[in-house]
Amino acid sequence: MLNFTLKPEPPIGFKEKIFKDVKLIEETGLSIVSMSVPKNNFKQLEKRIFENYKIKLPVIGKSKTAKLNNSRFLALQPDQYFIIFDNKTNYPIEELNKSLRKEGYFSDQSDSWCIINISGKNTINVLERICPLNLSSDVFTIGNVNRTSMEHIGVIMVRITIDQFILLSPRSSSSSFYHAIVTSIENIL
Amino acid sequence: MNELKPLANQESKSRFLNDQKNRLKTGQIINNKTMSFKFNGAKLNGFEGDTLASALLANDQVLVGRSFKYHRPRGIFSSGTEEPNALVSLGSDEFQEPNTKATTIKLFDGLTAKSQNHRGPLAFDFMAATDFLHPFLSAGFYYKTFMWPKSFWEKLYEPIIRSAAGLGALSGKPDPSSYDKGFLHCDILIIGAGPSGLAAALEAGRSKLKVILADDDFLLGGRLNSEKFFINNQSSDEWAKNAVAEIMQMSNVRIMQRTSIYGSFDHGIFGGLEIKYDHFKHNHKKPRQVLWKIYSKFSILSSGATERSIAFGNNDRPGIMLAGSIREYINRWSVCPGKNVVVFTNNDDGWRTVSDLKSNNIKVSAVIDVRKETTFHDKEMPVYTGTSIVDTSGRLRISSVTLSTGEKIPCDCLAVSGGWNPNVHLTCHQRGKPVWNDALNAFLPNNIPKTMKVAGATDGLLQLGEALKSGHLKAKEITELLGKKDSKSSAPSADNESVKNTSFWHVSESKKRCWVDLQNDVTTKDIKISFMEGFKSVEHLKRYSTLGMATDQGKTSNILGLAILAELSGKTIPETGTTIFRPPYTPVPIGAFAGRSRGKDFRPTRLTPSHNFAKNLSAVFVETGMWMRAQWYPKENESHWRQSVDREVLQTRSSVGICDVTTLGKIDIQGADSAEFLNKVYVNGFGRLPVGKVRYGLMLREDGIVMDDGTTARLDLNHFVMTTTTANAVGVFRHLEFCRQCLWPDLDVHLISSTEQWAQIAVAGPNSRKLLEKIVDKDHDLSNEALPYMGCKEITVCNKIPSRLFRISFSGELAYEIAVPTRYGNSLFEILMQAGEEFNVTPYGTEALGVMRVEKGHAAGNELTGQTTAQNLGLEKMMSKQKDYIGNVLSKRVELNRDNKIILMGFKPVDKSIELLAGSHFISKGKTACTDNDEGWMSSVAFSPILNHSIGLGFIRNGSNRIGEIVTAVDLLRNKQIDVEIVSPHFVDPEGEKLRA
Amino acid sequence: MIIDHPLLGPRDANEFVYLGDANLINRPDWTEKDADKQFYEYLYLRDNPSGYHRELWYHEQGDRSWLIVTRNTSTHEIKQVELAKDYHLEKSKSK
Repeated sequence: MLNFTLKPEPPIGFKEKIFKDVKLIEETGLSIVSMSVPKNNFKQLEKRIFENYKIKLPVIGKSKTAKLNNSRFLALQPDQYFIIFDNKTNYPIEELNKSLRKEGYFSDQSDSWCIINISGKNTINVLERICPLNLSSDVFTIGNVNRTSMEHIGVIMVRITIDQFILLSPRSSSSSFYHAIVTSIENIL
Repeated sequence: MNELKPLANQESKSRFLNDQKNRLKTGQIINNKTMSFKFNGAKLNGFEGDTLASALLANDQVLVGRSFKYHRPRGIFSSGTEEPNALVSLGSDEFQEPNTKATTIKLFDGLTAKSQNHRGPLAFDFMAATDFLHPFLSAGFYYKTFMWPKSFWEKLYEPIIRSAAGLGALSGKPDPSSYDKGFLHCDILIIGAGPSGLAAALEAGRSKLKVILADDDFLLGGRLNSEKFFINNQSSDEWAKNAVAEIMQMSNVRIMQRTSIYGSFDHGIFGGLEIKYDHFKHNHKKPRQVLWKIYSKFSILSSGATERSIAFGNNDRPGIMLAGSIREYINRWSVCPGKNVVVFTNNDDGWRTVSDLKSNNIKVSAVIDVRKETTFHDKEMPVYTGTSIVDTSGRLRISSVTLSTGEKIPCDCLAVSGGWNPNVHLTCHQRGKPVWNDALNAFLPNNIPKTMKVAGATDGLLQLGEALKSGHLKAKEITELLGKKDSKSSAPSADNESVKNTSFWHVSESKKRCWVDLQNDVTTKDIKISFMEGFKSVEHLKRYSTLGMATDQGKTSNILGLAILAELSGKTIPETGTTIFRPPYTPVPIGAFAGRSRGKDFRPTRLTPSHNFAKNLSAVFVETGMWMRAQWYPKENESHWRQSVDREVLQTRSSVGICDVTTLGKIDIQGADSAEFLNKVYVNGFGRLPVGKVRYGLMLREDGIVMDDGTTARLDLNHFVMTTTTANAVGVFRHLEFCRQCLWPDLDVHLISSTEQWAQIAVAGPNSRKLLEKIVDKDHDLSNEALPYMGCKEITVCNKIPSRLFRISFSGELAYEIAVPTRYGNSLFEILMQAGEEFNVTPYGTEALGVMRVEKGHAAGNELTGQTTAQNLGLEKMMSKQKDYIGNVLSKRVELNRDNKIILMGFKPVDKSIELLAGSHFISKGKTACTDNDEGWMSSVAFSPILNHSIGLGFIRNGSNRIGEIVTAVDLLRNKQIDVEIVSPHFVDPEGEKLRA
Repeated sequence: MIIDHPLLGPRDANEFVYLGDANLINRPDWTEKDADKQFYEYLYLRDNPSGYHRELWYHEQGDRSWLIVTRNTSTHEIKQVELAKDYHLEKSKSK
């Protein structure tokens, strides 16, 4: 009998691209898990998060990082967070601590998104061609997270440094989104 | 001036200067680089810093176009965006851009431009004959003349009018230039970089606010570059240059030259069009223009004022120009449009043109001031007070003026000053209504947007000292409102010039045609006729006479027109009012609005996980919303789509087929109250659905109409996965969030979309289980007992890859839907094809999917039209009576439950060889095909390869009680009448034995 | 337009989807005697005033919150923005 092996494919597969001073990386090796807070269980969940990650959950619109698995918590909407962390297995939820898993509702979102890391001193000039949000660093501060619409695509963005963002775009339209970013780069450089 | 330049350069420069007949020998511009350009094929020279208009005038090219209606010779009239005459076509071939204003085009080396709206040479236009027909071509001419006979309109009149009228022509080819859009945010947007704008920008910038300073000109300073004024003891242009230099150093200020703010929208949002490149032929891959959406906390409108004309006999000849524009040509571009100028004014400002002409040693033959008394006198030239111009002569250029006294004065240029109108436009885009000011004889801003402040001439402060002060002050006010410390700097200081004026609009004793609107060829007589014919409101006057329409939007003519209308009606100007100001302030090309969203980039596309596989098999794709789905997979020997689709259906029904169904919406629902939540949104119950089971659910809107349907699986006690139709995925999610947040916020229920997370593949056909068993890890039992129909399981495939398996069927066959994380989707599709080789597996597309669902009698988009109820679908029994759900109460309305309501049924042609037509209507046998006898319609049809004839689904009155009856399916559009038999909608396996096998 | 989101601050109205009269929150009780009349009024007799109007907006391209926006329909001035969920919970508390 044949032995069938499934081969994983990245959303776009460009790995890394450098255009003068703008650099794009398609992040792989990361998992995304959504975490919802059960009614009246925020305190308990927060306690477990602190035990495991030594951080308090961020307020909505902010993100926080923790050492464990290089985790980043994004507070996206009331009672819902994304946890982005280093993981190579096919079972990201099971990578979370059991004690935590009991206190919230989790859903694997790793394959729902394409993660593009954009950096370089022209990052803002590139993004202002497609992003309606105020990207000024005193408004969109480091660590802030926002979902918005760029070129009709719903995108989640996190500011990592003054001129670096990670952009989560839905996987099925990620090629269109990548095209939108590259068009912006070509238009300004 | 040129002492430092090498001699050779000086020589060539002087040659250029000699070529440019009207170029003055002094001024900044003549030190700039020379540039050559072509106008109507003639090679001409200008300087960097010129506009096309200033370069044309420097070369004594006074005649630049023909008028819209009468094809009258026309010249450059103004020096900015208000220009009504000098519309030219820029570039050639596919790069041709019509109707650009010569007065705003920055000259570049190699520019080519053509005049418009004439047949034959510009100096002898064959269409000029229309000018002699003017008694017939008055206001409303087209409306009155081309009424009869009706059939002539489309075939004769319209084509003739279209070719004779109008402005420049498009190339007819796709625009090869590219455009882009963008978003900007600021504390203050300062609109216009004239005196008040620069004063405001200096102050706001020094106070560390985030500032955008936008100006449509390529040289900042506005009128400071057009006048010989002094600020802080520097010449005004020098001061502007220094102010700009200081602002450029500020990292908190973004200067946007050549950016026209074309619209003011709600809550401090503005639209701006930035011109990036002129040499577009070489740069067409970079956006030529960028359309900006600018979000501002506050704005300062310092857009200045526009000079208006005076209506008098034959006031449209080339060489007749606005007096303030002549000053700009002299002072900014060192160009004088004539050698022998007459000045005609009704206000003090006209006199400044006199003095600037004189100080450049240009002959002023006469000054005509309509006022009896004026403080200005000049002994060196004839001054006529209390006098006006009644007529002019000169065919291709003005040669003399005739005064109201009868005296005739020769000239080659006439400067006209009718006073200044503040550019209030952007204060009015949210329905602000400007108010009339008697002292200024102009409209001033009123009820302006909350976050806008108006400074300088726009606010009626026409004097330089006042304008500078107001810009400074407004910036200070905003700094305070934003809670920032102001810079403690003081306003730049300048003298206030005299600006006395009078309300004098037109020369009534003139017997000749007096133009009001040069662009649209509207004369004072046209306004009189319109008024007499009953078009008495300004809005009616505009539409009937076309006053104030087209590319200049009446910037030089509107006030004039309504002053004349006021006079006719015996009302005051404020009583007469203005037309509504709407965006755009200046024209914006459609290409800029489209931006980069052209062709394939019109909107994003969503690709299914198996997209690459399908592409390699040369699948034909169909767009369903943003998704690209495989429609069918043609084999080499298949030339017609039906061959492929029939084969896919037969192969699936006889063995096994696979189809990517990832596009169906998937919503992950978790929480202690998930089951209760589902009970509330579906008509049928989900509370008692066991873990490991799937149920079909029907969702209504509150009005009792079907919203969507799909299956929902219970993976765990508090964990469900709902599927929606592809089309309604977003809408259902929105609806569920509405229910969750707005209706039942007490419930513990959490939603997240998992559509993109799981690649889901339908595996259908009698051999589907056998195929799946080859790839599912051995510890999972797929037998009918272990996984019965409507069961679901979390399993692993291909050595521990997580997977979900649902035993559900859209085709009516033994079937499954298998899901793996999307990264494995394409690979899973390939492996199913490999593993299925022994079963002769086929991939099938949306077309075969559609055929099989019609054969099985499932409703889909064609049936769920937003007008059908559960009762119409024959699903009444699903509607629970034990519980509340969305649509519960209103679905019980009498009208939705009548016995003769339409019901979804199947339809077979009596003559099996005939193809059914979707959209045909059912009429009882023997009755006339008319609306009164309409009993329903055919919603979906397909050719069933299993039955070997055409079948259809449709709605017909009281259908369930009429099985076996023959009715006529009438299609009056395609002129077909087909006898059909009403049957059960389940054409294949009505008992569902295959499903449960 | 700009909607000042109570959690996220000012956001472009393009990110939102409009639904209409906020009274859609007050869904009647199906067990009431005149439930049919109440539902008819609830669904069809929605207010559409010229002036201030409480209306529902959904932040689809944002945090997925349903908001109640008090907007002047003739000037587009926005007076108040609340989370629909908060409003609802507040109301049921006060009952």
